[in-house]
Amino acid sequence: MRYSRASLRQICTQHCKVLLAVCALLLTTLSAPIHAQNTLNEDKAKAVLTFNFIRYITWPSETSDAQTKNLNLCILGEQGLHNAFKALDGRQIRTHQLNVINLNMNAGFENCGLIFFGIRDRRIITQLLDELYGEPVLSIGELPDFTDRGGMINLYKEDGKFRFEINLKASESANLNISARLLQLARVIE
Amino acid sequence: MNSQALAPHKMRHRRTIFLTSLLCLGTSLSSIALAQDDELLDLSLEALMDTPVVSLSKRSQSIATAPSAVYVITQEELRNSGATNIPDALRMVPGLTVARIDANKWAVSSRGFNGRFANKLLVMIDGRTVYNPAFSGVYWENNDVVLEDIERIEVIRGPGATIWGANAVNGVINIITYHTADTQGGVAVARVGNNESGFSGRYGAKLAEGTYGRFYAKAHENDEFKTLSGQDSGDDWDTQRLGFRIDSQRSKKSALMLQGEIHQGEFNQTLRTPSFIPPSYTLEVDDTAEAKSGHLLARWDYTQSPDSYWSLQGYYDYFDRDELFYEENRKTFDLDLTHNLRLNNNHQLVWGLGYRFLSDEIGNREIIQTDVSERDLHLYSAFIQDQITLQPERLFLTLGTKIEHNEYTDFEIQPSARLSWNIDESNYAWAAVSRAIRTPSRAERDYDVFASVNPPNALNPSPFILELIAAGSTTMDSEEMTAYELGYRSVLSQNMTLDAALFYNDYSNLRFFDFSSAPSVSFDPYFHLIQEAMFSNGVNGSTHGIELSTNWQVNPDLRFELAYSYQKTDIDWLSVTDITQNTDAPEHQLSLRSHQVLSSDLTLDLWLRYVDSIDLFATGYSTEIIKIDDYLNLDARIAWKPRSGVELSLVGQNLFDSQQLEYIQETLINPTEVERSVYLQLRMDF
Repeated sequence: MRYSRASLRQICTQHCKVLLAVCALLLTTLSAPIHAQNTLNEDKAKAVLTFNFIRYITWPSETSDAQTKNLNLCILGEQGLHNAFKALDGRQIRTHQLNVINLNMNAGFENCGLIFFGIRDRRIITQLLDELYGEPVLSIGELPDFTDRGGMINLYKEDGKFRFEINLKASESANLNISARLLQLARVIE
Repeated sequence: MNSQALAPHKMRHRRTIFLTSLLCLGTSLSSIALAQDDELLDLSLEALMDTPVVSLSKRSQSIATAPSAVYVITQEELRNSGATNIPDALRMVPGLTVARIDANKWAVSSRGFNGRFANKLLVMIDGRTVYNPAFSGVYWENNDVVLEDIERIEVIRGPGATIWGANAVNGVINIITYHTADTQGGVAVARVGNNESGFSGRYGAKLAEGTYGRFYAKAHENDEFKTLSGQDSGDDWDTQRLGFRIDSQRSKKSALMLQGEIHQGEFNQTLRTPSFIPPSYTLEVDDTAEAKSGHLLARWDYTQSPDSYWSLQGYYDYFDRDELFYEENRKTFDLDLTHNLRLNNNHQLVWGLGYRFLSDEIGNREIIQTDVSERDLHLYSAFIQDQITLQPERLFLTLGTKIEHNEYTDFEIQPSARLSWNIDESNYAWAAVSRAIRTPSRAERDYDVFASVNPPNALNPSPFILELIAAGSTTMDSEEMTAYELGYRSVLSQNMTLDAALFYNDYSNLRFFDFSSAPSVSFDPYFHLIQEAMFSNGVNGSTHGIELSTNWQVNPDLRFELAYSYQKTDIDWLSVTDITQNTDAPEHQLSLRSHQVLSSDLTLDLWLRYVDSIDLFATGYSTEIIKIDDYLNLDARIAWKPRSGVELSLVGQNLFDSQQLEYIQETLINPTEVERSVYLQLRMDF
């Protein structure tokens, strides 16, 4: 079952032609205009959404003394998500100086003002949310049952665009004040 | 079974392929600026919620920090691949070899030793083993999971025996389905094609507070392929399955999962059975394998404290297969307890206990017979593994071992040591030494297989007709392997990652045929000799190789995934007659995939694969080593989403070749070529 020299040449030519055709196709596609200019990278969208949430949510520690304090944004998730959140590091909202922390499971979450759950491990999520319950820590996640588990804001997609739901019971028990404007845009779970 | 030296022209042919591929990737390099972060932060919430988002490949942005050669196929990749079954999707994994034997049979293995009876790869679906202990391999056609419900497929090349136990020698595949909270609502998929037509549907809902469920059904019909001479190969098949899964969070600390399934299938096949009729001494027979299976699985997860959690899993599995040459009915009951415990900052412990009860009934058929038609086996196991922090967040050493007791080979110990090093945020290296074993199958212990009738030939030095019986032996012992592995992963740039693994596997006690027993004489149907070839251990050998994969997200609309593997196999067979398992792996394998967003509702996926030639041995088909030629093939998928929840896709598979021989089964099955296939699929989410 070995190639004869002639058939080999034929096959080689055929293979190379095919490869060149594939290359040509790929190169054409590469030079094509990027369609996604009007779209947002999902991880960046999550960071920007989070930035906006902070704008419309008041923490109980916020007082009128106008003293700037660190608000630790703790991110649980893959590197791409961390990279996207780095854009928020050092920014200021009202009296909050945003400080982005890469929260791996070895680091403590005691100083977090916000936790973004970019993971799918429900055991870890449930356990953390359980420990955080009632604490003034804004929890943002992206699982259909995130609010079921005591999470405060859950991101979901509809027709490729982000939507969010808010678990009022959880945010109220943590004394986080969510503005009416944010609630208007959300699906509210009482 | 060493591969022959490459002819120079063939070498050139290969080099051209690789150079062209490299050139192709190289010239495609370009940098695309993304929108400035500052502008993004000024976006209003309303504007944000009105902007479509695109998800980029997770793999192109981060590296897994697991000290083994792991590759994960995500649901998105599974969908984009156009594969209609799991083995075809596995072709994208570096180091894995997938060959379709006929329309309903696959040979899938990791790091060599491929075959229908690929006995060194363990496969599990949601924690339930689907490795068949009688013929030691996986009936892939039986495990045709609803692809839309798969969250991910985790593939570990190399041993996983310390955790998963015997037979996880060259690899472990974990097929993991979605939590039911992630599959609410309905999905219906209908497919029509020249080779396969079918339907699958699922409906999921919230059943109560904290409790979700789904119910699914899947059925399809596959057409037959072609034989080498272009005749219909008589291997059309159909299967139907029904199943459910329920997940319930009982409390903050305790979660319950329950799943069950029933399945039946009819797999037609053209057998090539041994016969006493000259000149071929084989007979082509049309047959249908009828399979029925089902399972019920429950898992309870309990979080005792942040540092301690338990998992208890039990399942019952029923399997029945009836074909002309063999009949098996098997019941499996399995119970596993796992405990994760963080002792302190330096020790993360996992330990577990397992018990498996296997009960089978084997029907005596003309080809496969046994004196022990019923057997009950008890398997006990325990494992412990400690991840020791040598330097916080940087350097870890994982030590562990599995101890098993089985009734064939008594105690088996399978230890491993793995070193894990986070060099910096974007570089990771690991090294491992581990031992794994492959325990004897029921067939190797108890069966007599009527393997072939041989006129005087290479296998038969006598002047008479010789009947060969492959005979199971109670002295058959485990095959052993020590693996040495090195791995490195790197984030090369913000949009590109590299994963590399090197391995050297040292095998001993491999199975071979022992011909030392004296031949006997028979007059049925005419005078001939009967020679027993007894399954024995004693052959040694090694394999080594390298596996590379890289990912490149060129821009939000385009990404490439390249996987390449090189492998050499060196087994010390004494002669062709020794060979009882195929060991050769394609020396070079290449997979290049592209995923491209053409417009807001149109995507294009291309998948180019090169698989090198292999040498294999198929008793009953040829008494000599057969060379399966190398091949290059292309799959393409174009998907259109005319509106939300509706996707229409057109897929072409094996486009370069209308008929491609990928493998010849070790015994009994007529060589069959894989056909080009085209199908149209409609998916509705509601």
